[in-house]
Amino acid sequence: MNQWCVKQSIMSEPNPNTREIDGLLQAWSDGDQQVEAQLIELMYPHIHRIAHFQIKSSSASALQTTELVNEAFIRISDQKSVDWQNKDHFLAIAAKVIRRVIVDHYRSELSQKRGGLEQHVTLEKVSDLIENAQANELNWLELDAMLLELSEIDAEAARVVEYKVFGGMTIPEMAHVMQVSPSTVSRNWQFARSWLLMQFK
Amino acid sequence: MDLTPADWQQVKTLFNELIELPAEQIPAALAARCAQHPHLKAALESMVETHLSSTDQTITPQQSAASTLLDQAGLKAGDRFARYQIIRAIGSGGMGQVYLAQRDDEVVQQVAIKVLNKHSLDAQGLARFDAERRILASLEHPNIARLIDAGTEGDQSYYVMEYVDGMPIDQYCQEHRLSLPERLRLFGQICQAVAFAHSNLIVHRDLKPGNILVTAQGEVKLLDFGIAKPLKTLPGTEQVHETLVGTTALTPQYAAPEQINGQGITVSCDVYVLGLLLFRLLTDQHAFELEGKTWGEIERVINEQLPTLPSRLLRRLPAPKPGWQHKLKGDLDAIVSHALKKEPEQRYLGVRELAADIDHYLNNEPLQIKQSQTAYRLKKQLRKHWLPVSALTAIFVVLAASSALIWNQSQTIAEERDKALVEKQVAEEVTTFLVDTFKSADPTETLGTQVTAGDILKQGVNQLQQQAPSPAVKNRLLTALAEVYLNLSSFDEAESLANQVSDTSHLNRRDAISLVQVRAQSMSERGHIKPALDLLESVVFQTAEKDRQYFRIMNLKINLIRGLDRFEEAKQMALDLKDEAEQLYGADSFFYAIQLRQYASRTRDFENRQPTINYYREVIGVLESLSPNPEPLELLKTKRMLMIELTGNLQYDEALALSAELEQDYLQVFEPNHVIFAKLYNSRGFAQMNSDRVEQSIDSFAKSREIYADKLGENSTNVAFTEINMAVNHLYELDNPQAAKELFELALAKFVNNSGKTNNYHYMNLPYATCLMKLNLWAEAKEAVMESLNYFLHRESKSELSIAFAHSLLAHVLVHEGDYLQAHELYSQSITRVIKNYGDTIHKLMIDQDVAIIAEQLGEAYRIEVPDFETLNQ
Repeated sequence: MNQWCVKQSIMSEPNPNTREIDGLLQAWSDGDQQVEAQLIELMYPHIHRIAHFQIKSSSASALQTTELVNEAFIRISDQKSVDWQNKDHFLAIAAKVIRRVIVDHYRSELSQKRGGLEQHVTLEKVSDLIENAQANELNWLELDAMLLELSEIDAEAARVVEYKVFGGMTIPEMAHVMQVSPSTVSRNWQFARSWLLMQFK
Repeated sequence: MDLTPADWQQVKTLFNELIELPAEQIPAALAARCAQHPHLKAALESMVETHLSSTDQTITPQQSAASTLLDQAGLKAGDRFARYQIIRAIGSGGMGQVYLAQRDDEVVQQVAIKVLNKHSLDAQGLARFDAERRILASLEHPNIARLIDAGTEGDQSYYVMEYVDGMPIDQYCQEHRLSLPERLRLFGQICQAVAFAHSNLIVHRDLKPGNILVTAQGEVKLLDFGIAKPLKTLPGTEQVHETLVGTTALTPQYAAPEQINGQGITVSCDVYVLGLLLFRLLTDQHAFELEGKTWGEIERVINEQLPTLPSRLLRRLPAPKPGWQHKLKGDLDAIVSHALKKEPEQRYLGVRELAADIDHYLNNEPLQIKQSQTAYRLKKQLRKHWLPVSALTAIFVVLAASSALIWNQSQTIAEERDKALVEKQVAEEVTTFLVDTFKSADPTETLGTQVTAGDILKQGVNQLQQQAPSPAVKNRLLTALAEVYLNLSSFDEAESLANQVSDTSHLNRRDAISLVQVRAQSMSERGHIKPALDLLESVVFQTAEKDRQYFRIMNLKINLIRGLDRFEEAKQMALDLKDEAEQLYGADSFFYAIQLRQYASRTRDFENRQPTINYYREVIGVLESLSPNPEPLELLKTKRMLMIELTGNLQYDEALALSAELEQDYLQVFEPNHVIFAKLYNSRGFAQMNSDRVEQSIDSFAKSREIYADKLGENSTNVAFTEINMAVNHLYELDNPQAAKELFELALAKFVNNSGKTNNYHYMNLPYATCLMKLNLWAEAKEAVMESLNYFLHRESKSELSIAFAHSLLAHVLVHEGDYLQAHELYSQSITRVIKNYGDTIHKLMIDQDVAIIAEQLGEAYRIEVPDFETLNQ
């Protein structure tokens, strides 16, 4: 049952980026917004690779964001050498990276189709999308665009959606990263959720 | 509703206040708020309505507070959780903690509680959790730990299972010194339990000794069924085997390749893992040594490495169990290997089939699976050495074509049956032959030494001579082998095999064309360009498909035409072919990449290499993005061409780095005295020479010449090229014109002999003239310069640099003859030509140097100012 132990004992060589990522996460969680871009850049190739596997291996163009986050954490983190104080912050950055990877992927897929049939998002689908990020056949690009719009109205609410949908983060985790109370996160979520659903009426 | 962000903030506040009210109060409160803020009315109403009309499972702050507490603290002895009292923690895993507990309200019964870690509540997740729980509850089997209860507490889900007081199976077998049949019977029990679960659409996914306990009574119990996966991604009940994708916290030692790769999980996954377990029970060792490896290495091992056969592993152990090795050899080795195949579809169909073969073994009956293992292992092994194997494309084409024939035969109509039967027989013989060839090159048969393409081929040729198959089979194989040798640039072997093809009437059209191609190409490599082109053009190609063969033949033709100095024609053909490839296959295709490379080579310009370099980089980009790359050797070839261009472009360090990389790649495919190394060393020597690494450079050229002379003959054009390079080295770097002269003359004679006085001859004739001047042989020098200047001036495609170079040399001669004015005129022309047309190339620098010397002489003779480089440049 001790899966983590097994994994730790064989992962003796730290991922070369691990310490760097951990250090930057620390800076980021201390409020240094400058390092965010750097973090995203460091993590992008890892997550891109994992996502690539996922997309290749699944029949539909399904992406499982939670799986992505878990895999990314397992692969990027080195449990032995780094004390991951910053797991929540890791998840938050990972959410941003995953969003970017997904959007890049579907954008290139779309451009390959050369403007073929664009799938239309129904209310049902959006509801599905928000409640369950694992649903297949989401129009991720549309979600991305909607989030951009939302972030102009309410950046915090948009961040909550990003964290939840792309990073699978829980309310306490989001509260920790955003340094607000869980109930604030919850309110942001309620607002964002209804706002997003409303766009499709 | 055009609201500002500030308006939206107000909507947000109002919205959040409203939805926290009891449902029956909302409408009235909403109306009141809307009356207060008329401009927000539409947005607010819409938001609230949306909220109320959609089901909502968002957790409340209270719940998340509770879950935070549980997540962080864990449970201690005496704590209460749901209806259970915790006795102690048993273990923890990626998915959660496991506790020994007992129910405190009813009968005292010890249970194991697994509390799942993190998940956020969502409606579907909960529905699935319920569905999954029902399935698990129905999973009643004597060898499966029963699910007693499951539920959620706060936002934590948990399972309650029968508590099994036992020992992991591998430990149990070792401590009790179980015999082989005893172990196999235990394993059989496990298989039955897993098969039972499969028939209920449940895949375990985390089978490992730690989850398979043996009780004091010797009873096997499987734990943790179906719950190794976080709830959030647990599937609906209907398609368990289809929807389980990805892994989270797996145990690499007991993971199948598809788990590692995050691919779909099927029953095959359990088959594989049971294979690993069987391996463990048979040998007390792990199938793969993963200790101390990084995640990347583990991935590689699990994806690529075949496990040692159990019997072989036992042989290597310091204290093997007496007699076991003998018992494992054969059937048990075969069962393990079959279960451990990398591709899920190649393994046992299901666990029942695996269990059946175990039974067969115990009852001394023949196995279901036959010993198709060797071919399989071989194929796998070959795949690992992608470079050597990729060199054998032609063989695989024959193999595939043969299989296709067999298949087609079943569809042919009756009249053609006889003909088809002959073909079928040929095809089968060919297949058998090739399989045998590969088998004998199996590295496990050859004591693990690395197999190269050459080894396999040699084996193939030997076998062909010994077995004396029917003429039809023999001719087809000779052609295939010749083509492979040609791909590997082994022209002697290719030609000799091609010459052994006695009767071309047996060959199909494709093979017949291959044969012509082999002959033409090996002629061309020896510098017999005209005859090669004649041969190629003597055959009418009715190639309907624009396939690999078509493009190869066309490329060969272009190269030959260009070799005859028909530059414009070659360039046009290359352009047409590139466009054709792009139209047919697209700009990211293999064929387009190859044709772009051809076009880049044909439009290549010694004086401005940047466009060619850019093209080559593009080609490399396309080839590298192909997966799988149909012919990796083409990638290496492109890299080598890039290396040459980089050298020409004065980027020596990049070129030398690329050459070192290439040498390593080549060593995987070719024997160290293969002609390809001659090409590489020659290019490398050139880069070294130009970057003042004179000693190393001479060494490289000498190595190159030795291989060329050995492989292509003392008089081959390629030997001439290395001689030219050595001569240039002697002339410019070592200041030994006498040695240079001898080498130049050897080389030039070879050029003339092999292809007449073509571009290559004249291009090399110019440095030769320089050499003659240094030796004060002015008459000969003038003759040489005039000859080549004449050639360059009248050539259909002008090489401005060559003309400039020739002019400057002629000026030298004129200075020597005292005709300073004419010399000055030529120099000015020469310099202007260079500056006008080209950038900062090595040639310009060379001429620059000459100019400086002449300017000095001119200045002395006439005391006139010679414009220097800088002024001319403006």
